[in-house]
Amino acid sequence: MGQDGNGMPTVSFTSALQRFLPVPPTQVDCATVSEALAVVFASRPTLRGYVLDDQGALRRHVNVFVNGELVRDRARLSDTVDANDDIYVFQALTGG
Amino acid sequence: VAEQVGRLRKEVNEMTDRLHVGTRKGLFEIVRDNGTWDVADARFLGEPVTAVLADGDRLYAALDLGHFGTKLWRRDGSDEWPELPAPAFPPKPEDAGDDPHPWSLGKIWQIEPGGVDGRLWIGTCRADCSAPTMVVTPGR
Repeated sequence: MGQDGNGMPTVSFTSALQRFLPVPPTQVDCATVSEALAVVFASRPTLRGYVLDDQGALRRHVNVFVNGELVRDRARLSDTVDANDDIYVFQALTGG
Repeated sequence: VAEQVGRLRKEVNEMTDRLHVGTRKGLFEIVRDNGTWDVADARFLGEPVTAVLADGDRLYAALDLGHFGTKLWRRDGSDEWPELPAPAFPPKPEDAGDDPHPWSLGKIWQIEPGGVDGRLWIGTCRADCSAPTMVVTPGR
């Protein structure tokens, strides 16, 4: 469920990102993950380069989950989202 | 003349008494005072600083944030560090399909003054560390 269940999906960002760019959870009117991120990037242009690479694909070590499920389309983020979905942008966990 | 020499000597001493050191764990400003070097300031603690340029009163720092890519910051006389747009690859052309390397910035390994206001030369490599190259980017 979205944060207050008003029908719009909510986009949240990992706390690891907040060190550089404070981004509060945002409710957005969107049909896909790509659209959701585009709305957030419009108000915070610098954030785009933290999440996407130069070609607009998801960065290699960044993951996006929709209701806890990894998105399938990392290149174009065309995965669809429904009302009240939770979209979460998270850094990939790597060994070492 | 003595006053001018004194001022010049002071400026030279200030230039040679200050080091900016980029490390895997942050950017350090090291200052010599009465013959003793000491860390005067530290920024970006815990982050890899891959290149530094001191250009007049401006200081540029390139960081490799790992998960979130390579970024560029600038301090311009004050204590503020606004982020600058990092160099970026253009959209990959249709006919570049057989290029095995990613069209995405990897690291910044050198920053040099561009010779005119508004320009920097920046040494980069691609996201797979291939194809080192120099690009020009808006700076000052």
